[in-house]
Amino acid sequence: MNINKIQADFIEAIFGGDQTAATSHVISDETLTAEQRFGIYSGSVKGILTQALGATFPVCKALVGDQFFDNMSKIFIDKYPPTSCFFAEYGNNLPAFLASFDPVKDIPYIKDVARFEWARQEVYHQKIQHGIDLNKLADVTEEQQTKLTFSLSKTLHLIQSDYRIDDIWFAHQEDSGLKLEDIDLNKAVKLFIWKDKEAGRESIKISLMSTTAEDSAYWDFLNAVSSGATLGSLAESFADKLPEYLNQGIQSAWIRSFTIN
Amino acid sequence: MSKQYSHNKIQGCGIGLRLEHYNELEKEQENIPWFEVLSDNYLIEGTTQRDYLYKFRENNPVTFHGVGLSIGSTEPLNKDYLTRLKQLKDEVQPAWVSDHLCWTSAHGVVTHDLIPLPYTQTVVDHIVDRISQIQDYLGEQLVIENVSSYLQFKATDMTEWDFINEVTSRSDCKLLLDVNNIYVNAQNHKFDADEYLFAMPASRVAEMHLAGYEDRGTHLLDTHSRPVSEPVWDLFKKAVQHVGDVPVLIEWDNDIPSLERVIKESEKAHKIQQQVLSDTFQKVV
Repeated sequence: MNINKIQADFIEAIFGGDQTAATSHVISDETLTAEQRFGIYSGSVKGILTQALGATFPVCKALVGDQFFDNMSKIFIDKYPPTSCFFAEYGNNLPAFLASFDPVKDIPYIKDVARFEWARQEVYHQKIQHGIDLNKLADVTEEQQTKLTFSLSKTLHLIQSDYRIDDIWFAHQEDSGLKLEDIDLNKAVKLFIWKDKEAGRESIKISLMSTTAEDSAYWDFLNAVSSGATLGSLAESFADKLPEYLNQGIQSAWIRSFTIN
Repeated sequence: MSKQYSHNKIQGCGIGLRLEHYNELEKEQENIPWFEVLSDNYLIEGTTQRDYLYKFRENNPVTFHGVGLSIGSTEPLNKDYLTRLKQLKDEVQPAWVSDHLCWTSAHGVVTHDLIPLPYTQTVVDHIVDRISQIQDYLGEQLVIENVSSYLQFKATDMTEWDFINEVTSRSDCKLLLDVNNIYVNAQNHKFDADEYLFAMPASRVAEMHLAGYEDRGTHLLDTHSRPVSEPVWDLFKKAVQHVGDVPVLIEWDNDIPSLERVIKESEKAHKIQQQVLSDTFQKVV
């Protein structure tokens, strides 16, 4: 008996592989066969993970229905078994999975809704940082300025979609008064998703601000910052708006630090 | 230096700290002797859950209960998980840290489920070494829980109760005795629950768990979704006689009812425990 082999065989079989080796370690009796006994565990693992995915992606689940979501999750779980001890870190591959999952091709926005729900999850689990490390900005020489890049807070996520995913999400929130059939789904949107402490309260809120493509200069600016654009490049792209955007980013603590490359 | 909490004594029947009950708990907090915290859910910094944990810790003692140590795994201990667990332990100061005598992850994959082990001397050696490493790192005795199971391995060559005795004795750890799991396993694997129970090392039992199972016809499933069953209450009475006055917790993790209902079940456990202790004490006198 090799416990390492038993565990390897179990992992293989639970996540969609052949079950012969795993069940060969298990005793059959008059009540249940080894396959049935092993099946209790493989079913339980899938159930636990399906429930976790449903909790992280409730709107995706609502869009396809419970039964469909559960069946789809089982396929996803076999393809992407969890590698983290924390449920909060499971599901980052779901948007990409949905993008190439043929049975949802009639819901083209679902992959973006999944990205949106994952972003909310990630933002929720980031610690709010206090203080901004920009006090040495005044010491930067003119030459260094052009090579300077900024870092954004991890409690901010920027997402864009060709579909009105913010309203799709709102339509699935209790008492939102918004109905899916009333939404102009094919309207492109750029979103800010961030975490903040509610004023005067301990609870954390996830906030959302959307902007249409025509009025998205500030989103584009932060997205450029996020992509590692240098201050020189930002100055070229955003010209006289740059001071205002920089100030706005620093005031909201979304721009947190800088690096000279 | 860490903050020092004044409430540290774990006594009587506690309640599992659950997100579903947070609003009700604010009103009932004073009447609950202690909380069991599912530590894995609080190991990420900055979450609302953590803020709630800090809040409730102010006035109630807590214990940690996790599934992430994967004590029986053959892969190295997860250093990131252990580091986070120790940091939170040092900060929140639970009375003890518990996990399960099983494996949950292996070969880089996490199942998030409690999968049993073959009961052999080689596995005892392996587990003892792992528990020793964990205890050295945490700087205190670990509390391990006996798990429910639905299969047995061909390789097993010792009873589950002998296995538990060897592991706890050689690693000098404590035991979280899950009475429901003993009953579920006795039914699923056709052995005498009393023989298992009375073989348990009473002096090592730090806490007892009770929970409700579902009868699936061919086996009992430990779902933590039901009130405690009558046969488990009967076994609990014997457990109290055997281990004496230790803290008790009702586990209710699925189909979670109102806090009032959980408290009612907890009060029932407390009443039975006190009655058994009183009867046993009178007999001794």
